[in-house]
Amino acid sequence: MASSTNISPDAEISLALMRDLYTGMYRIRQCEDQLNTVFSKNLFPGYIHSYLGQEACAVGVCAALRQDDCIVSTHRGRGHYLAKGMALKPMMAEMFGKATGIGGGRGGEMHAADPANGILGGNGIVGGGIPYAAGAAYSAVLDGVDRVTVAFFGDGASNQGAFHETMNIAAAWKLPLLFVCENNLYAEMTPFKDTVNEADIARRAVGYGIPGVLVDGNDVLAVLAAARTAVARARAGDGPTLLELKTYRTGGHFQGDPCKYRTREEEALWQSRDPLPQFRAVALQRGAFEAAELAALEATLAAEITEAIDFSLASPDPEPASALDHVYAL
Amino acid sequence: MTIRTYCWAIVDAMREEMERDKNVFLIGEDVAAAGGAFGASRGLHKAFGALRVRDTPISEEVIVGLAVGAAMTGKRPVVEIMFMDFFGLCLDQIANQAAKMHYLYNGAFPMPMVIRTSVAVEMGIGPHHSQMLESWVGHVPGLKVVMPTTPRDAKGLLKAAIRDNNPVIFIEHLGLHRIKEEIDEDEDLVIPLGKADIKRVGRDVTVVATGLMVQKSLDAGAELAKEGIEIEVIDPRTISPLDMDTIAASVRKTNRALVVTSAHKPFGFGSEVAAEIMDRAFYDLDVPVRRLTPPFTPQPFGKGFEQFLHPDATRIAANVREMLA
Amino acid sequence: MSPVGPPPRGSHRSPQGEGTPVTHAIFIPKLGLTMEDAIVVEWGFADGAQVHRGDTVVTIETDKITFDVEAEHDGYLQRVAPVGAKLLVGDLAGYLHPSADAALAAGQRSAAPAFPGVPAATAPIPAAAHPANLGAAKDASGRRLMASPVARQLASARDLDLATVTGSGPGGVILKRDVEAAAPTRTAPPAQASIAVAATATATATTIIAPGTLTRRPMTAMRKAIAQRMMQSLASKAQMTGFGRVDMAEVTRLRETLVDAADTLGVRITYTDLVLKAAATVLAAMPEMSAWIEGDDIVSWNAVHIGLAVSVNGGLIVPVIRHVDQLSLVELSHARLALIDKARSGKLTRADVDGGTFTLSNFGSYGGDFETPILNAPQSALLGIGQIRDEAVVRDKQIVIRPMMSISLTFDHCLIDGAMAGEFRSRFKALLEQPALLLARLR
Repeated sequence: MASSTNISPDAEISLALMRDLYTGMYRIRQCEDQLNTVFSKNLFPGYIHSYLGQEACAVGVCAALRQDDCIVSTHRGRGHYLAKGMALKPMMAEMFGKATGIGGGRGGEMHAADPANGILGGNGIVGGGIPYAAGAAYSAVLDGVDRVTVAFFGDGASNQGAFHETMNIAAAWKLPLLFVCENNLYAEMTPFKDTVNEADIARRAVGYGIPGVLVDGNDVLAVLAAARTAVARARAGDGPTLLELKTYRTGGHFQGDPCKYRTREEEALWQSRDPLPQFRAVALQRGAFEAAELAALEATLAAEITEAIDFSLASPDPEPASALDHVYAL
Repeated sequence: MTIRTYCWAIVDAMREEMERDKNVFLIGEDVAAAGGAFGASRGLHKAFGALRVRDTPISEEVIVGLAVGAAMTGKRPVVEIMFMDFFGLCLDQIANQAAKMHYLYNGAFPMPMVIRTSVAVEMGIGPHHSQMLESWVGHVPGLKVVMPTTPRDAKGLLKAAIRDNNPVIFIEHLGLHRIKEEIDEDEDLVIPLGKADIKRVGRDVTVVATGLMVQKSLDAGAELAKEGIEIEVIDPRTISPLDMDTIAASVRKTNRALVVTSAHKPFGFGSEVAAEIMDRAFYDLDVPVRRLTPPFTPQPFGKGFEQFLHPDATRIAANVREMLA
Repeated sequence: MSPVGPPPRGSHRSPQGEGTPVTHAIFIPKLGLTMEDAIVVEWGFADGAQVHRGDTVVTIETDKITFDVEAEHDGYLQRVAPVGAKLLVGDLAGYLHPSADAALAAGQRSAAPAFPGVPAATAPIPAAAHPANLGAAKDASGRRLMASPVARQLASARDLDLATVTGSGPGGVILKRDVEAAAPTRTAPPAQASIAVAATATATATTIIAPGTLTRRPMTAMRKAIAQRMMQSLASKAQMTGFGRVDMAEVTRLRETLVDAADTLGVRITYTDLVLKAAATVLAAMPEMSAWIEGDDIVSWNAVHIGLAVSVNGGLIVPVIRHVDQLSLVELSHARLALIDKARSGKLTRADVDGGTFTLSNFGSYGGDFETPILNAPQSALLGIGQIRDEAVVRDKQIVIRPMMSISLTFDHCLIDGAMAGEFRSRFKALLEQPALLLARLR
């Protein structure tokens, strides 16, 4: 098992790439912040599962992927959707269940898909996406192409039978599949460590004979490096990798979660490890941005999110009768 | 023309479809090297290679998951779940994932996948290998459920299921594997889903039968004919979507309906047929719709119990006579 | 449960309290200002049948019109008033019960005279959708009969009373075969009969008592209504008829001009239109002609609404053209055509026949000259016109040929004296003989 904390092969990270990474992370941050505000004003239908704090995971992994690579997401998928290239307004409108959403408002906050960008949906079932990520991977095998699939999931899903079945078959069949576990230390409202004997999920890979990699999930460059290695392995036909990204969700399990299950000290600690200020500093220091340019970019990204939210709030609801469509394909 | 068994008809169907469309592939436990736990995929591994016909570990959830993901990315998977009793291990991928993909994502993902599975009712194997669970899957919007009872029907319906762009649960009866029928091997035999078959024309009672009960009803029919009673036996062939037009038309003619299944009475297929007959042909009924099923118990091991619990031709005939009394 | 006797008028709730299933009463609605009563023509369903809100539950006929009463609630029918009964506005006609059993039970307990089910020949319901006799009658000891749906269906179609059938099913249930044995052939197939306003079904059964001597058939509802109305009119007014003769030469010339311009005008003006206009002009100036007596009062309309008697299949109907004095000839003609069309196709509504202040009847259309028309109560005057015919008359001591039209004005002498009636005829005649005078008052 390799530990790749803070491995950043600088030579391979261009300034342009750094700008892209920061842009991607900041966009997600703004999206989640502003949505939390919208929620607190009682303008959001249903639950919000915030991706706040985990931005480096989605952006780092997706930066290692091509457009035709596939991802399968979870119930906490906005970070994945945006990082993989889903258009902002249709995504946002889908969150609000509007007719202008990418799924016509029928999927909502936990279910958005974009086949053109290889985004194969989210899931309301913890771990529900992992088995079918294997199916998408197997399609590539059948076609003889080097397309890879990423199964995103959380620490909670790592205890589902579906995870283990898929790990086994992916390893046995050498599927071009990345198992990316975003371990934010809490499964719903229970500390992960209370539910397992072995706190490092990456170690499970040994049992399946595949590489398991522990990564600082708040260091986007570390995540990117680990993802690139795993992707290269998969494209070469050598099979799957399990990446465990240690991170923290600075929001609760869902918005409005009073988080009684964790201490304020713990929260403060992870606040100090917030992936965005970390990387911002690195990017400025490396010269990827001028300060003013960065501020302008941040303002633009914030405005885009605001515009997308306004667009969504103003969009019409779906036609109720459309509930009868698409039960069966022709 | 050639005589084919029910089992070989299934093999033939898969072979023809895999030849026709390279996106069709088959995975499951023992399907490749062994040619199927029950011989329903003999020769396919050799014909189509290790990628398109592949053995899996015993992992029902991911077996179905593989089908879901492959269907979402351009393939037409056929996967096998050895016994329908094992559906509990993979119901999330069937009911929450496969059935809902196309709907949830607003028509973005047609799901052309077939889950073949077997039932071993009345074969004496025991409680975990003898259940008729079509109601479980018939109750999920987005799924189709097929249950053929003859070789021709099996072949034609499996080809249609593979060509269908929706998840189809294809239920095979182990007890029917050996029955034989003449099939034209040159015909591209595709029987549309959702169309019932009148296996015996009659005028006195409509008997809707599924699975093993079809042949038993026909046997009962032969007996009753000696007494001048002519029953009409309808094999729905597709459980969902159910061809109620054919059934209702028959009831309008006979004024009496008996539904015979291996499945249980409460919340079962017979209840669905009875309710639908009420909607469509209530004013044509001379007696209430009757459901003949085994009693509501799990299936204990052994032939003695089987015979006690399950309807047979004698009981079917007795019920018909009662309805005419 | 059914209430004992009809509930008070205006009440639509049976005394069962909130929250229990409710029985709704069906009353004779008031359809027009002057309507007082109606005859039950036909029930839309049989006892115990399921009725949905909006279905035509019963058809009634007033002195003016035939009307389909729609159910205001869902329910199961109990018919109280038999076909042919005359009921007052607000009277109870039947009930809609919460269940077929309740409807049938109530029907058995009510003191209403027994009457047969809806005869198959006039049942307007397709048998498959609403079989009559859903809940069959009772047997001799009053117990409910058990019969299968198809047996009931068939019994209804064959007009067979299930109480007369012995059931051979389990527990004595009546099955299809029992009905088939009891009534092997069908009588009349259930047909769709639409109840047009005027063209009601004519004679049903014909019974010949002795060949070549006497024929008897029942009156249609419309005929009964007409007969009643006529007698009532004669009995309540002192009717006298004054006659006159009008030279129609000028009118004829005027009409020819108007007919030539039919394309421009968009309509072909007729003699009737011109006569109506002349009459309306006089009526506007002589409001006493449009008054009538009610009790001790004289009631008058400050308007000129003229009814035009139209002959339709089986009878007579009088649609009303409103404010004739304020309509142009073109407008008048259009209005007249529209009403006649509606009358002939059975589509007149209550509003179309109500509120007339005067009536015009054209005997000329069937070759009449002078007649003594009967007043269209409650109106006090009615003008009849005869054919326009070339006749020899004396003008300036010469015998000339002129197109002459006879007029017959019946009036209620209780209210209108001979002199006033004569005045009306004079002014009317003057307008027609010098149509330019119509122009003089044209606004």
